[in-house]
Amino acid sequence: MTDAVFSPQKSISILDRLLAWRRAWLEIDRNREAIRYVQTLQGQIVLHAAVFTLIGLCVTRWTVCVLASVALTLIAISPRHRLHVLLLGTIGFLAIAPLRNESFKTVPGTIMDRFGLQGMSAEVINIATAFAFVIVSLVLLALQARFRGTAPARRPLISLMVIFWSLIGIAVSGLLPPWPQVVLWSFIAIFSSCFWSLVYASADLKAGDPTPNHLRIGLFRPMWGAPLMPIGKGTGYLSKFEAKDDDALASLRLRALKLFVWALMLFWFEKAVRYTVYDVAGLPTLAEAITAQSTGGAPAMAAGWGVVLTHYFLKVIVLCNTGHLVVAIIRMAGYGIPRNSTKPLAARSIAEFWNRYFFYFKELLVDFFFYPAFLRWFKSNKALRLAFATFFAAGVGNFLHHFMRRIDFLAYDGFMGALWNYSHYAIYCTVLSAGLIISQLRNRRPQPEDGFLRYEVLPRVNVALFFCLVAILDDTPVPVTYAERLSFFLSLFGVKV
Amino acid sequence: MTDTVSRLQSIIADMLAQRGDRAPIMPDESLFVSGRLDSLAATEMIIVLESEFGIDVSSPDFDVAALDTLADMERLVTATRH
Repeated sequence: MTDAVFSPQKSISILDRLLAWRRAWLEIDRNREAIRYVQTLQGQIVLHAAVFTLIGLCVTRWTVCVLASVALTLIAISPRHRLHVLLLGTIGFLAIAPLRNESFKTVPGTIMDRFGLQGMSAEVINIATAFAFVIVSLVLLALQARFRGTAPARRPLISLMVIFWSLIGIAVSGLLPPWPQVVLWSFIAIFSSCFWSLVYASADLKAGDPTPNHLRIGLFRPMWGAPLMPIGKGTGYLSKFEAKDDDALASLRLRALKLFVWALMLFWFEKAVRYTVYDVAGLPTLAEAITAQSTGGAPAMAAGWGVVLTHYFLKVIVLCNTGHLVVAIIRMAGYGIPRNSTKPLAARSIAEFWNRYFFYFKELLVDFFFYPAFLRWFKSNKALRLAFATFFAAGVGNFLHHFMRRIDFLAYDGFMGALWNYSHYAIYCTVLSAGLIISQLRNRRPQPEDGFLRYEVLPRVNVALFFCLVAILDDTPVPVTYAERLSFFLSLFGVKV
Repeated sequence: MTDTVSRLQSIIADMLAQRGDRAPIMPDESLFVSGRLDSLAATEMIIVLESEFGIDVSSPDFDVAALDTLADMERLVTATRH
């Protein structure tokens, strides 16, 4: 702690004292005493106990609490074997909860019900296919290493896309007998939920990352319980941020502790806002407000703006909180990766917002869609080159990424039905791409000399308005028609349809 | 310091300055992976490498991570010239 905190200055006011504590807290990862303390046995126990408590206070899934706490304990005992611990975490996760979310979980069981199949639980099939997927992934990575000069090995994303969509084609064709069909859908669900982790593993292998292939599997279902987005990318990326010595590791863990506390504050702040706005004030959620267009209970214009602003604000808070939590666990494990969200509301352009709001999703789209397009196509025209690459990433890549997750749509409605069910998201991606292209092609950035209003306020209001309005086309928890979306959009400007 | 390094350093310093970052640039310091410069800056850098140094980055084997540091860029330019 700094001297300012402990010096007996009688004249110091409560506010000064609080500010000094705040400063000491924010600088704790640079405080020599604190860094030394968390390297002692007692310090490590205190730090880890604090972290496990914080995880327990802001993680709702017990699997993540238990697996993360056990894994971080093992890493604290043997930091050099952190990748082995991550592998154990993935094996544990696949055994306990092989499928990540509800849209995946329901598919194998529903297909079994469709054919009236009995005699084996869908859960057992899912666990078996999860481990089969691990073996298939290891075989694919071994083949890539063995035939590294061939076109499929040099273009891992295209190769994996071909495999994935071929499996979907076989599954939706209905040509397979009932049991193989259930197993195939289960395998596709696992493949879909781990697809981008496998792509990063393949890309790392192609780039010459020396990590053994079996250790790359440790990031397929990492113990930090990440969403479908591979926060931390692959082992090649993580290795660039690995703590180099004990001091660096201790400092990094203190940075992680600060991020855990910030995540916890955001977690409870979000709960408080949600309770106040939705339960006390009675404002509908965005999905409720849109569906109310056809039932006659649509909110008034001012309330409509309240709905979209609250939705935008809460979405930012939720993503910051979950991203901070995941990044904090990764930092505790010894990898000082950048945050997933960094002051998104401070962004002055749509492109900057994306970079600040969801860094690892933007990175995924940039790594696998933007750069490949930018490096090869329309090289003679700078504006067209940038515009096309942006559309390829934020439009095509973004849509593909989300569509490939909707295994439930594909399983229940077939390919064309799923495409129609998800067409609203194609429009969302197109509008988002247009916004990003305009934002990137604008030559002039706001400057401080433009004045407070034009520099600090208006650019941020424009960004917020864009994302508030485009959210009307985004995914909703319940099915919503185009007419309802359009009607709600127009109602924000006083137009009744 | 070679002409290539000083030219690259000046371009990177301009990009950083536009983003309010005036800290010095170390040869082996990560610029893009660390997030100090964003992907839009990377595209500007690629255009400079193509137009001023004649580098062709369209091969499927090219990895953008090869441009992460000033030293990486110098190596790429030197390799292209020889």
